[in-house]
Amino acid sequence: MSDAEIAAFLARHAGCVFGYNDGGLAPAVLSGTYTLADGVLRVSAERPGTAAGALRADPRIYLIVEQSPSYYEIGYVGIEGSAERIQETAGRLAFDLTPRAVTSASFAKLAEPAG
Amino acid sequence: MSLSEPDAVFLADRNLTFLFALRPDGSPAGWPMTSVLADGALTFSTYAKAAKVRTCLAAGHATALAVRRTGEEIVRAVCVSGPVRLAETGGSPGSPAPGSIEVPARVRDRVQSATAEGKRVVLALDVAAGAAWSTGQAGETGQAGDAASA
Repeated sequence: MSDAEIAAFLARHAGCVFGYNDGGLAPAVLSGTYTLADGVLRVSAERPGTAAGALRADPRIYLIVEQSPSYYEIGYVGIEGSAERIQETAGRLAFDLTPRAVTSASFAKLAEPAG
Repeated sequence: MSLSEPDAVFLADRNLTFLFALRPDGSPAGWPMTSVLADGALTFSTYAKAAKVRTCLAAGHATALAVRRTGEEIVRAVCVSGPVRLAETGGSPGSPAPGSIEVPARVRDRVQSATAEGKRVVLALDVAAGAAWSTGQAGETGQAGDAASA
């Protein structure tokens, strides 16, 4: 996806999944939601357990926004970055995600040309 | 703690699953995949040359979050974590999860050819430790709330 396509993709969605390093052998993974305002991705997740403490110790995040309404509409954006301004209030985790690298894929280009 | 029966039944379907592993520097990486439970492992068919294969095998452990969604909302989720390895073969394709997408026949044919040519491999994530957390089912454990660390 182009930068414009990635921006439009992120603007169309609100759900996400993210992984972080909590010191275990494999990443801890949570689902959540995000908002995108003024170029800032604000992520939140309910019932985060010990995620806030883990993210303060190691803020590295990998976040995925995915869609798959049909095969040729499959697409995703993966954002590697850092969690900043981490807050935990009333069982809800929230943080800003500062991107370092963005990857994306779209199956739309795999579709056979019409006709 | 082993996988609960409801979680095993859910994972036996072909589900959208987010696979995560740690890179050598400790940073997380992830990929959306399709999974199916077979012989005590959550299995993922993918191309042998894919970065996810190298990363997962180098890490030796991975975490997978299998989900079912209604629109944007996740209505069922199971998160499992454990050792990951290459499997000889994948499980049966499994039943498509309710609401899952139809894979075009020509894509299925291409995947079968690549599998026969040895271009595709199966990653198998051991789920013997049970779910780190699950939601959308009676007796759910919440997200990371009450669960052991993944």
